[in-house]
Amino acid sequence: MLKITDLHVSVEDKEILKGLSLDIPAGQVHAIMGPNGAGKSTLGYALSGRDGYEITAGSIELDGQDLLELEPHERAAEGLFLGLQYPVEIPGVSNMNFLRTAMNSIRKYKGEEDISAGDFLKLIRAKAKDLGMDAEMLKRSVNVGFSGGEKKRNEMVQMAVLDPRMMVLDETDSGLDIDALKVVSDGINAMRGADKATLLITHYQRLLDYVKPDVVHVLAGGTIVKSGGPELALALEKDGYAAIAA
Amino acid sequence: MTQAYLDSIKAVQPSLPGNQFPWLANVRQAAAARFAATGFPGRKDEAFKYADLKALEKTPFVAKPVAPASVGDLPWIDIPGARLAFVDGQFRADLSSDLSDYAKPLSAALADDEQAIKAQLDASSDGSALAQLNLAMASDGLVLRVPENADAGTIQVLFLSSGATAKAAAHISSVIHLESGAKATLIERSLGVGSEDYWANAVSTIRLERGAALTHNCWQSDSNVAMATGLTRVSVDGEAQYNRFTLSTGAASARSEIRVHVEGSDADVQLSGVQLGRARQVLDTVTYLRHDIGHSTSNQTYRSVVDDNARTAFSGKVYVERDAQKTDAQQSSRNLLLARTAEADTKPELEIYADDVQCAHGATVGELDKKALFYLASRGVSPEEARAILVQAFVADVIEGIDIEPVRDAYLKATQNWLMAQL
Ligand SMILES: Nc1ncnc2c1ncn2[C@@H]1O[C@H](COP(=O)(O)OP(=O)(O)O)[C@@H](O)[C@H]1O
Ligand SMILES: [Mg+2]
Repeated sequence: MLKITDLHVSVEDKEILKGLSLDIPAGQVHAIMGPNGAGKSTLGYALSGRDGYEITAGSIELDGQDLLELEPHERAAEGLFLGLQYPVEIPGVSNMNFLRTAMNSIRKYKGEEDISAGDFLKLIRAKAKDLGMDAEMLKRSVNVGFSGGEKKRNEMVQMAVLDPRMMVLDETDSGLDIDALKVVSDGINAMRGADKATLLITHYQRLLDYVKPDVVHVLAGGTIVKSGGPELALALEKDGYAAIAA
Repeated sequence: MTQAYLDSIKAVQPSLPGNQFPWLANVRQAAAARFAATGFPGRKDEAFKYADLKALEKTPFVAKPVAPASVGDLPWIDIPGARLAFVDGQFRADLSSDLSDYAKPLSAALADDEQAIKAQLDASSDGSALAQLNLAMASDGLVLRVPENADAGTIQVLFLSSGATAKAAAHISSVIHLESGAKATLIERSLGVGSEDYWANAVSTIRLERGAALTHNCWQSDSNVAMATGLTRVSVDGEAQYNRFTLSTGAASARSEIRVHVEGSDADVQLSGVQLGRARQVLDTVTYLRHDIGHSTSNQTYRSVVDDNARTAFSGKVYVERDAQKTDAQQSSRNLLLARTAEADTKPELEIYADDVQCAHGATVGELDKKALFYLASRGVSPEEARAILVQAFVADVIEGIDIEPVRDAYLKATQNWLMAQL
């Protein structure tokens, strides 16, 4: 589904990713682990097309389509979702309004009609409930005054509502207590499917106890230095990145 | 150039309403003389530092407008109450409805009881050259007089310029007096329909006696070739409330000045406004809030959004007299630039002679939050829509303070339309 080939990404003229390749087939969950500053978030931003993340070489394809040709909002409309490590606060824009606008933008892109207000309300309430988010919070400004855990839950509500096919989740597990981690993991698992794929970016192997990955990759020095099964994550936890990446 | 205006005053004065009353003819002549003495204010005049009034001087706006027979449907907000329409500075009974005993055109009020508004017109001799011209040649306006403890309900007023005659001028003079404990809601809109340039120059003199409450919402939506200038003078007695919101979207060049004197304790003054500027518009708001007596509150909240080569300005001065202890005066001006070529000026000023007061001001000028723009894009929202949603959020906290729903909706819609026209 997602095919990244020899990707080079520079930020402010500093090369962060130096020839990263990754192939995630439909139906699979991959995990990328790596030390702080390895470039994990940079990969997420490069995938989504954020300004300032300059692709100097390589390619990114989503089901054969060249993502580098597309603007960030078009990539989202094509079914790419990036759960942010640090979700942004938007004062004055309610979660409802934010998501309805997003949903209708995507529908417009696909040439579909807007969702009716009633259907949207039903959908967002159901998803919020699944993810243990209080319906009252939907009326509040996006992430304003939310705790770290609430922000991550909110990312998952957005993902559930938008129903993307390629999910890239950047440290969605950080800042969550164990109960919240379970709820969020259930949410991720519920979105698994034969025609979907997930890339979990994480620092800790804890999340992988709840969301079983098919493949684990280690990112260090701007490239994937090692790939393996779930047992690789356990080894990383035990021996540290230095030992594995060496 | 001043001469052309003086000639025009001379020509129209005999036909102005109430000119048969010597006191009023005198007031008008004295105003003309003051205008002749000063001419138009220049940039050196601090209160006119940001306004762009060059057009008024370059070629005089003295043409007598000839309104077309039909001006189309008027955009009333769907809300019960009196409706008064003025076209090119003249009251139009045929376009007005549900007139109340309290609200009538100046022309009718002068005919009914000219003494009743004498004091307020007599006392309005201060003000800039624009106000003097207005006083000398205002052709009509709203007179709203609400007796003790009465509730006048909602009065909606439209000031329409037909834009059918180039360089036409409409000078509108309104007199509002709420006796103690009286209440009213006044919804005003100025707008232009034709393609010719014109000058709409409005002056309102408002007196709120003890415990009176006036909610005053205004929308300046004049045509994009118009000059729109306005001055509102308000005297606020103890326990009275003046709650004013101004939306400014129109005109090539607009200037709105609001001068409030708080003359009693436990009064409450809320001034807020949104200016939306684009193309080469110049939108200027000037406020002056004077607390003469203590234990009153005032709050000013202004937002500007500026695109293209437009310029907006907000100058707000708060003056607190030595004896006005326990005054609480707050002021906030936030400005959003949508283009590098746009300009927003903000000049808060506090002049405080009392020592036990709570006065603060905050002013910011910024751009759209890049992180928020990316966040929206990453969820599928196009750059244009992302921009629109963030701009709406920026002005929403002010517009949402309007508690009359149809008015709030109309202003939110106007903001939305402004944004859509930008795309
Ligand atoms: N916007 C940015 N500006 C400057 N440097 C950045 C920026 N984003 C990332 N970097 C740098 O790129 C490197 C990788 O960062 P990041 O992708 O956030 O790592 P990780 O998510 O793996 O912790 C770090 O050295 C970081 O300082
Ligand atoms: Mg990171």
